[in-house]
Amino acid sequence: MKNDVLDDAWLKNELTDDYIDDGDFSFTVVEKIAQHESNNKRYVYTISAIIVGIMSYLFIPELMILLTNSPVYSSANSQDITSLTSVELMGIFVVMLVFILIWSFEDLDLI
Amino acid sequence: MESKLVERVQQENDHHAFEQLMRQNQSPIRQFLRRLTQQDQAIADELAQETFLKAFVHIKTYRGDGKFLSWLFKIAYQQFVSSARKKTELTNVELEDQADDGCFENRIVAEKTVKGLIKYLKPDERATLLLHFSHDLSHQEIAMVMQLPLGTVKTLIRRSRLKLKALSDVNNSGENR
Repeated sequence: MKNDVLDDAWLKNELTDDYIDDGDFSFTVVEKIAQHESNNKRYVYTISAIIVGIMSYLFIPELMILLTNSPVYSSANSQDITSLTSVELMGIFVVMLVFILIWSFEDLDLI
Repeated sequence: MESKLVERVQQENDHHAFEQLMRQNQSPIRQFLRRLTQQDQAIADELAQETFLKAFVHIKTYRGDGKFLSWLFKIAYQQFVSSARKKTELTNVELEDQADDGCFENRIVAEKTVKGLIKYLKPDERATLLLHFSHDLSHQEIAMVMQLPLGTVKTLIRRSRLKLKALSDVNNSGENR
Protein backbone atom coordinates (compact mmCIF):
# COMPACT_ATOMS: atom_id res chain seq x y z
CA MET A 1 0.00 0.00 0.00
CA LYS A 2 1.30 3.42 -0.89
CA ASN A 3 2.14 5.21 2.34
CA ASP A 4 0.86 8.77 1.89
CA VAL A 5 -1.38 9.01 4.91
CA LEU A 6 -0.01 12.43 5.78
CA ASP A 7 -0.84 13.81 2.33
CA ASP A 8 -4.28 15.49 2.60
CA ALA A 9 -5.31 15.12 -1.05
CA TRP A 10 -4.25 11.47 -1.21
CA LEU A 11 -6.02 10.60 2.05
CA LYS A 12 -9.17 12.41 0.93
CA ASN A 13 -9.16 10.47 -2.32
CA GLU A 14 -8.62 7.17 -0.49
CA LEU A 15 -11.39 7.77 2.03
CA THR A 16 -14.02 8.95 -0.43
CA ASP A 17 -16.74 6.36 -0.98
CA ASP A 18 -18.86 5.73 -4.05
CA TYR A 19 -22.36 7.20 -4.14
CA ILE A 20 -24.93 4.89 -2.54
CA ASP A 21 -28.05 4.58 -4.67
CA ASP A 22 -31.25 5.44 -2.79
CA GLY A 23 -33.10 2.27 -3.87
CA ASP A 24 -36.12 2.02 -1.58
CA PHE A 25 -34.37 3.68 1.38
CA SER A 26 -36.31 6.97 1.29
CA PHE A 27 -39.57 5.16 0.62
CA THR A 28 -39.02 2.94 3.70
CA VAL A 29 -38.28 5.96 5.89
CA VAL A 30 -41.36 7.84 4.64
CA GLU A 31 -43.45 4.76 5.53
CA LYS A 32 -41.87 4.69 9.00
CA ILE A 33 -42.64 8.40 9.43
CA ALA A 34 -46.29 7.84 8.46
CA GLN A 35 -46.52 4.94 10.90
CA HIS A 36 -44.90 7.02 13.65
CA GLU A 37 -47.36 9.88 13.10
CA SER A 38 -50.32 7.52 13.00
CA ASN A 39 -49.25 5.91 16.31
CA ASN A 40 -48.86 9.33 17.92
CA LYS A 41 -52.29 10.44 16.70
CA ARG A 42 -53.95 7.24 17.88
CA TYR A 43 -52.51 7.88 21.34
CA VAL A 44 -53.92 11.43 21.36
CA TYR A 45 -57.32 10.21 20.12
CA THR A 46 -57.52 7.46 22.74
CA ILE A 47 -56.62 9.77 25.63
CA SER A 48 -59.07 12.46 24.42
CA ALA A 49 -61.83 9.91 23.95
CA ILE A 50 -61.31 8.50 27.46
CA ILE A 51 -61.27 11.95 29.08
CA VAL A 52 -64.33 13.20 27.17
CA GLY A 53 -66.13 9.91 27.82
CA ILE A 54 -65.55 10.01 31.58
CA MET A 55 -66.45 13.70 31.81
CA SER A 56 -69.61 13.18 29.77
CA TYR A 57 -70.67 10.15 31.78
CA LEU A 58 -70.15 12.00 35.05
CA PHE A 59 -71.61 15.37 34.22
CA ILE A 60 -74.22 15.08 31.46
CA PRO A 61 -76.89 13.33 33.60
CA GLU A 62 -76.24 15.81 36.42
CA LEU A 63 -76.51 18.76 34.05
CA MET A 64 -79.70 17.49 32.51
CA ILE A 65 -81.20 16.94 35.96
CA LEU A 66 -80.27 20.47 36.92
CA LEU A 67 -81.71 21.85 33.69
CA THR A 68 -85.04 20.01 34.07
CA ASN A 69 -84.96 21.13 37.68
CA SER A 70 -86.46 17.89 39.00
CA PRO A 71 -85.22 16.18 42.16
CA VAL A 72 -84.86 12.82 40.43
CA TYR A 73 -82.55 11.02 42.82
CA SER A 74 -84.52 11.79 45.92
CA SER A 75 -87.86 10.87 44.43
CA ALA A 76 -89.47 7.46 44.82
CA ASN A 77 -91.91 8.24 42.04
CA SER A 78 -91.79 5.65 39.25
CA GLN A 79 -92.21 8.34 36.56
CA ASP A 80 -89.00 10.03 37.83
CA ILE A 81 -87.13 6.72 37.82
CA THR A 82 -88.03 6.31 34.16
CA SER A 83 -86.80 9.83 33.41
CA LEU A 84 -83.51 9.01 35.19
CA THR A 85 -83.03 6.03 32.88
CA SER A 86 -83.70 8.14 29.83
CA VAL A 87 -81.22 10.76 31.10
CA GLU A 88 -78.58 8.04 31.53
CA LEU A 89 -79.34 6.66 28.10
CA MET A 90 -79.01 10.12 26.62
CA GLY A 91 -75.66 10.51 28.41
CA ILE A 92 -74.40 7.25 26.98
CA PHE A 93 -75.65 8.28 23.53
CA VAL A 94 -73.71 11.55 23.78
CA VAL A 95 -70.60 9.65 24.89
CA MET A 96 -70.92 7.33 21.86
CA LEU A 97 -71.34 10.35 19.59
CA VAL A 98 -68.18 11.90 21.02
CA PHE A 99 -66.22 8.68 20.40
CA ILE A 100 -67.45 8.52 16.81
CA LEU A 101 -66.61 12.20 16.30
CA ILE A 102 -63.07 11.82 17.72
CA TRP A 103 -62.37 8.71 15.63
CA SER A 104 -63.65 10.43 12.51
CA PHE A 105 -60.90 13.05 13.05
CA GLU A 106 -58.36 10.35 12.24
CA ASP A 107 -59.96 9.53 8.88
CA LEU A 108 -60.23 13.21 8.01
CA ASP A 109 -56.67 13.77 9.32
CA LEU A 110 -57.76 16.84 11.26
CA ILE A 111 -55.12 16.63 13.97
CA MET B 1 -33.37 25.10 -2.67
CA GLU B 2 -32.55 22.92 0.35
CA SER B 3 -33.56 25.65 2.80
CA LYS B 4 -36.94 25.98 1.00
CA LEU B 5 -37.53 22.25 1.41
CA VAL B 6 -36.60 22.43 5.10
CA GLU B 7 -38.98 25.35 5.52
CA ARG B 8 -41.81 23.38 3.90
CA VAL B 9 -41.26 20.47 6.28
CA GLN B 10 -41.04 22.77 9.29
CA GLN B 11 -44.14 24.79 8.45
CA GLU B 12 -46.40 22.37 6.57
CA ASN B 13 -45.17 18.98 7.79
CA ASP B 14 -44.62 18.19 4.10
CA HIS B 15 -43.62 14.54 3.68
CA HIS B 16 -42.83 14.97 0.00
CA ALA B 17 -40.34 17.78 0.74
CA PHE B 18 -38.70 15.64 3.41
CA GLU B 19 -38.41 12.74 0.97
CA GLN B 20 -36.57 15.06 -1.43
CA LEU B 21 -34.24 16.15 1.38
CA MET B 22 -33.62 12.52 2.18
CA ARG B 23 -32.79 11.61 -1.41
CA GLN B 24 -30.26 14.46 -1.49
CA ASN B 25 -28.56 13.47 1.77
CA GLN B 26 -29.00 9.72 2.21
CA SER B 27 -25.76 8.71 0.49
CA PRO B 28 -23.25 10.58 2.75
CA ILE B 29 -25.17 9.60 5.89
CA ARG B 30 -25.24 5.93 4.90
CA GLN B 31 -21.58 5.99 3.81
CA PHE B 32 -20.60 7.54 7.16
CA LEU B 33 -22.59 5.00 9.19
CA ARG B 34 -21.32 2.07 7.14
CA ARG B 35 -17.73 3.11 7.87
CA LEU B 36 -18.51 3.62 11.57
CA THR B 37 -20.18 0.22 11.85
CA GLN B 38 -17.29 -1.41 9.98
CA GLN B 39 -19.30 -2.01 6.82
CA ASP B 40 -22.21 -3.72 8.55
CA GLN B 41 -24.73 -2.54 5.97
CA ALA B 42 -27.83 -3.82 7.75
CA ILE B 43 -27.04 -2.06 11.04
CA ALA B 44 -25.79 1.05 9.23
CA ASP B 45 -28.99 1.36 7.18
CA GLU B 46 -31.13 0.77 10.25
CA LEU B 47 -29.26 3.58 12.03
CA ALA B 48 -29.63 5.77 8.94
CA GLN B 49 -33.40 5.19 8.93
CA GLU B 50 -33.57 6.08 12.63
CA THR B 51 -31.49 9.17 11.87
CA PHE B 52 -33.94 10.45 9.27
CA LEU B 53 -36.96 9.58 11.39
CA LYS B 54 -35.46 11.55 14.28
CA ALA B 55 -34.57 14.39 11.92
CA PHE B 56 -38.18 14.57 10.74
CA VAL B 57 -39.58 14.55 14.29
CA HIS B 58 -37.15 17.24 15.51
CA ILE B 59 -36.81 19.30 12.32
CA LYS B 60 -38.25 22.39 14.04
CA THR B 61 -35.12 22.50 16.22
CA TYR B 62 -32.95 22.98 13.09
CA ARG B 63 -32.44 26.74 12.85
CA GLY B 64 -30.47 26.84 9.62
CA ASP B 65 -27.30 28.15 11.30
CA GLY B 66 -25.20 25.38 9.75
CA LYS B 67 -25.43 22.99 6.80
CA PHE B 68 -28.45 20.68 6.93
CA LEU B 69 -26.12 17.74 6.19
CA SER B 70 -23.98 18.62 9.24
CA TRP B 71 -27.12 18.58 11.38
CA LEU B 72 -27.93 15.14 9.97
CA PHE B 73 -24.37 13.94 10.68
CA LYS B 74 -24.85 15.06 14.28
CA ILE B 75 -28.00 12.95 14.66
CA ALA B 76 -26.37 10.02 12.86
CA TYR B 77 -23.33 10.13 15.14
CA GLN B 78 -25.59 10.28 18.24
CA GLN B 79 -27.53 7.28 16.92
CA PHE B 80 -24.28 5.38 16.38
CA VAL B 81 -22.93 6.23 19.85
CA SER B 82 -26.14 5.21 21.63
CA SER B 83 -26.34 1.99 19.59
CA ALA B 84 -22.69 1.21 20.40
CA ARG B 85 -23.36 1.87 24.10
CA LYS B 86 -26.24 -0.56 24.03
CA LYS B 87 -23.88 -3.18 22.65
CA THR B 88 -21.92 -3.18 25.92
CA GLU B 89 -19.33 -0.54 25.17
CA LEU B 90 -18.28 -1.56 21.69
CA THR B 91 -15.14 0.57 21.85
CA ASN B 92 -13.59 -1.33 24.73
CA VAL B 93 -14.50 -4.69 23.26
CA GLU B 94 -12.79 -3.73 20.01
CA LEU B 95 -9.66 -2.56 21.77
CA GLU B 96 -9.48 -5.69 23.90
CA ASP B 97 -9.97 -7.79 20.79
CA GLN B 98 -7.03 -6.04 19.16
CA ALA B 99 -4.82 -6.40 22.19
CA ASP B 100 -5.61 -10.07 22.75
CA ASP B 101 -5.40 -11.16 19.17
CA GLY B 102 -1.97 -12.58 18.31
CA CYS B 103 -2.70 -12.29 14.60
CA PHE B 104 -3.35 -8.54 14.81
CA GLU B 105 -0.27 -7.71 12.72
CA ASN B 106 -1.25 -10.26 10.11
CA ARG B 107 -4.68 -8.74 9.86
CA ILE B 108 -3.14 -5.30 9.34
CA VAL B 109 -0.84 -6.64 6.65
CA ALA B 110 -3.79 -8.29 4.90
CA GLU B 111 -5.56 -4.95 4.46
CA LYS B 112 -5.19 -3.59 0.95
CA THR B 113 -6.59 -0.09 1.36
CA VAL B 114 -6.67 2.78 3.86
CA LYS B 115 -10.43 2.21 4.13
CA GLY B 116 -9.60 -1.24 5.44
CA LEU B 117 -7.15 0.16 7.97
CA ILE B 118 -9.46 2.78 9.46
CA LYS B 119 -11.54 0.09 11.10
CA TYR B 120 -8.60 -0.42 13.50
CA LEU B 121 -9.07 3.12 14.82
CA LYS B 122 -11.37 3.97 17.72
CA PRO B 123 -14.86 5.09 16.61
CA ASP B 124 -14.35 8.75 17.56
CA GLU B 125 -11.02 8.83 15.67
CA ARG B 126 -12.65 7.13 12.70
CA ALA B 127 -15.55 9.59 12.79
CA THR B 128 -13.34 12.68 12.80
CA LEU B 129 -11.20 11.38 9.92
CA LEU B 130 -14.24 10.45 7.83
CA LEU B 131 -16.08 13.71 8.47
CA HIS B 132 -13.00 15.77 7.64
CA PHE B 133 -11.54 13.91 4.66
CA SER B 134 -14.46 12.00 3.22
CA HIS B 135 -17.24 14.53 3.80
CA ASP B 136 -15.29 17.81 3.76
CA LEU B 137 -16.49 19.11 7.13
CA SER B 138 -14.41 21.82 8.77
CA HIS B 139 -12.98 21.34 12.27
CA GLN B 140 -15.68 23.68 13.60
CA GLU B 141 -18.45 21.65 11.94
CA ILE B 142 -17.01 18.40 13.30
CA ALA B 143 -16.96 19.95 16.78
CA MET B 144 -20.68 20.71 16.37
CA VAL B 145 -21.47 17.24 15.01
CA MET B 146 -19.60 15.34 17.72
CA GLN B 147 -20.30 17.90 20.44
CA LEU B 148 -16.64 18.18 21.35
CA PRO B 149 -14.39 21.21 21.94
CA LEU B 150 -12.56 22.43 18.84
CA GLY B 151 -9.17 21.59 20.35
CA THR B 152 -10.24 18.00 21.02
CA VAL B 153 -11.33 17.61 17.40
CA LYS B 154 -7.97 18.86 16.13
CA THR B 155 -6.17 16.50 18.51
CA LEU B 156 -8.34 13.57 17.43
CA ILE B 157 -7.63 14.20 13.74
CA ARG B 158 -3.89 14.54 14.34
CA ARG B 159 -3.81 11.42 16.53
CA SER B 160 -5.89 9.31 14.14
CA ARG B 161 -3.67 10.26 11.20
CA LEU B 162 -0.56 9.29 13.13
CA LYS B 163 -2.18 6.00 14.11
CA LEU B 164 -3.19 5.40 10.53
CA LYS B 165 0.37 6.15 9.45
CA ALA B 166 1.70 3.63 11.98
CA LEU B 167 -0.80 1.01 10.77
CA SER B 168 0.14 1.78 7.18
CA ASP B 169 3.85 1.33 8.04
CA VAL B 170 3.09 -2.07 9.60
CA ASN B 171 1.13 -2.94 6.48
CA ASN B 172 3.99 -1.92 4.18
CA SER B 173 6.70 -3.65 6.20
CA GLY B 174 4.61 -6.84 6.13
CA GLU B 175 4.16 -6.63 2.39
CA ASN B 176 7.90 -6.07 1.83
CA ARG B 177 8.87 -9.14 3.88
